[in-house]
Amino acid sequence: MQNKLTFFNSDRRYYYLIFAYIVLSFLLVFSYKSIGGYEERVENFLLNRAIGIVDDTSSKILDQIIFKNPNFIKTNLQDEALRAENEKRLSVLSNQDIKSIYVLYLNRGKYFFLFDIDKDEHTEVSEPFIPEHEQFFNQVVKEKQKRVFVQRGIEELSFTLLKPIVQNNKTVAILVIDYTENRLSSLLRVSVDFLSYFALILLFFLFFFLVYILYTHYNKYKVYRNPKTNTYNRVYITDNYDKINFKNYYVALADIDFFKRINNLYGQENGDKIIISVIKIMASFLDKSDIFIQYSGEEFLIFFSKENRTEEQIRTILERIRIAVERSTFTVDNEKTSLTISIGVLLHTEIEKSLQEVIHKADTALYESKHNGRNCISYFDISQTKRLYREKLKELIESDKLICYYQPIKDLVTKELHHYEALLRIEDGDNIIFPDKILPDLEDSYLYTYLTKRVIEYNIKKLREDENIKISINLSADDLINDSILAIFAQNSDLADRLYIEILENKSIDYNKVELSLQKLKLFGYKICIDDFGSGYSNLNHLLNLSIDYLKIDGSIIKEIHHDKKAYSLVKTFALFCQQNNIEVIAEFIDNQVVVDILKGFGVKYGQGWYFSKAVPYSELSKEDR
Amino acid sequence: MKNLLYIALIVPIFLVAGLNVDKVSEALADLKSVRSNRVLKFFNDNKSIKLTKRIKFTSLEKANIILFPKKKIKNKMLIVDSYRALQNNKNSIGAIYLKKGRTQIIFIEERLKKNGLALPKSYNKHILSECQIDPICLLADIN
Repeated sequence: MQNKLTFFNSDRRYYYLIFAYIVLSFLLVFSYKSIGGYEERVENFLLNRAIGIVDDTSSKILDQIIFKNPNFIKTNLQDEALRAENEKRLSVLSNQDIKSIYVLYLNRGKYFFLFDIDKDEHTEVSEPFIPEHEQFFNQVVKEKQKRVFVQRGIEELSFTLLKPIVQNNKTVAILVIDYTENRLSSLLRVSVDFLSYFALILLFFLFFFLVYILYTHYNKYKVYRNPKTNTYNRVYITDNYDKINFKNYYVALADIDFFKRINNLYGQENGDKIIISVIKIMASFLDKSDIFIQYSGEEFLIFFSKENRTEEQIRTILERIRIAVERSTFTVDNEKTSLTISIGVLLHTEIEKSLQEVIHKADTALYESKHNGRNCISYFDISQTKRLYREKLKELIESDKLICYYQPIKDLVTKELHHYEALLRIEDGDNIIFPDKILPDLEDSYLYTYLTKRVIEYNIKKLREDENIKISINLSADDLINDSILAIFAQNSDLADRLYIEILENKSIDYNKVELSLQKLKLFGYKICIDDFGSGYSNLNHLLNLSIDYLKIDGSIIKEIHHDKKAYSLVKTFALFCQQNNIEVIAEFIDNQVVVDILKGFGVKYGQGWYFSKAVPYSELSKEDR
Repeated sequence: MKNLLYIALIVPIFLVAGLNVDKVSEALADLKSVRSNRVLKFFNDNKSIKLTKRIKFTSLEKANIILFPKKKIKNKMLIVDSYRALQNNKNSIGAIYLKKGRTQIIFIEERLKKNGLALPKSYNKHILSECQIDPICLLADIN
């Protein structure tokens, strides 16, 4: 059954664990059998390190002894003085770790003493010697290679070094150095055992650990599996919310239409049989890397892998599933029945923040399918253009294409510059993107705060570069309650007398929340301005509570002032209110002298608009103004 | 004189102390008479060496082989406790002693044959010829 495969394939760790288990089992058996070999190798390694200097020095001495002596055995046997001299040479090797140093020569496969350095237990020349571990002696003779081995069963000896003395490519004698039992050798012996058995114990531990993992995995499998349908159940998804990388899948939620009727009509047992049949149909369209979950009784959550599949292909597959279920007949108690399914799909999972959100959106789309008459597929999706645009904006912001244009705000009487309003723009090649094409698309995204910070930093930099300029920047109410943004203002409070903060009033402001932030900003010395006043949820009472410094009347009212009585009286009222409460008024969107004259008549002090200047880049600001 | 006596008593004990008793017992048990029906009986003159019961022990008089004799014994096969003793005493068929911490078990081929004794092939490394215990003969044998 395909859905069985679906279950296993969606959790590849299970395969890896079984593979590791098999490998480890073989390794364990192999290691157990060959532990002797490992011991020997470890032993040789440690022994070779222990003999170190003695090995090197003895080679040099042996070279001296046999130097230019073609038959050094016979010569030494015959010449007692020479023998004594050579024994003296060899005695240089003695140290407290060495018990005996002697040289054995060979005659008819048997060993006889040639030299013996031991003064306490000196052996006469030509006395026979039958070694323990004779195989090592014979091996040295045969292979002409040194050998060091641990002595077992001989008291006071720890290990022995055997060095062949080779003449005419034939081993004629062996230098034997017996090491005493000391702390080093005891440690060495323990180390060999320890290393070998530690490795074996470690392997055993790993083996049992793996068995434990497999066991717990199997138990999870039982919990996550619906035994009737052999698919994942809802527990799997709730346990693995954080583990499923939903961005790699298209997600569909499918529901059998009017299933309760079938249950009522044919009973739950038959209902289960029908569910199994529907699952079989759906599973036959799935790929090995897809995940199929029986989300509730007749509701199925399917994760379609995005690997090698386009959106179009998924649309086709889903349509085929829908048609296949629609065209199938299900036999219950010799009666034939048919049914349909509704499907809700979320394709663009890559922009979602959590799996809960993904399932919620797929569920919303499923609801739409139900609402549209069932037996259909609905896609929850922001439009492709909007998505691409958002991605493009993200790229431009992250690649630092953000700039500000500046529009002067002037004294309406003297026409002198008061300050500039910084207006956000994004450069897209030769095109300039305006805020109305930026902010609505980013409002719910983390990029919005990032963007605000970048604008603040951009203008702080400008203020530090140009000491004669004053700038106002726009913030939303949400920005004001963001601690990281407030921190930037706190760090740059030395610029407070040249940096004005305009709070956008186009959205409802929770004044209780922003009040504290505004108090802080006022404490730092910043001037506060309410922007777009009159456009949204304006409340004159709040203006007094917040102790604001400037009020900017919304441009949509100003531009109507000379031919709309309501606008006229509204501005007049605002202006009077502000005069009485020491709030300076700024009018925007001024595009002719008539408007200027009316505003002056109301006592409005400052204005901005195309009548004075369009917003321009910093490099194009007039020098007189600055 | 007292010191010499002390050394004479103590040295042999040291020479054989630490012997691999199992190995010695096994070798002695494997020593067989080529003459049929003759069971080899041993007498151990050094009580500090405890050999196993696989070997048949008897009194000095009845024994065929005397182990580690402390005094001169005539008309008996001897297994002595030093190499020097093996060289010097033609009645000794072998020697068992310690050398460099290793148990040395040596038998002389010609003497075994003369006394109608034999050892399995696995003991070949323990069997030397008369020539090999004679330094002059051994020297002549080396090219």
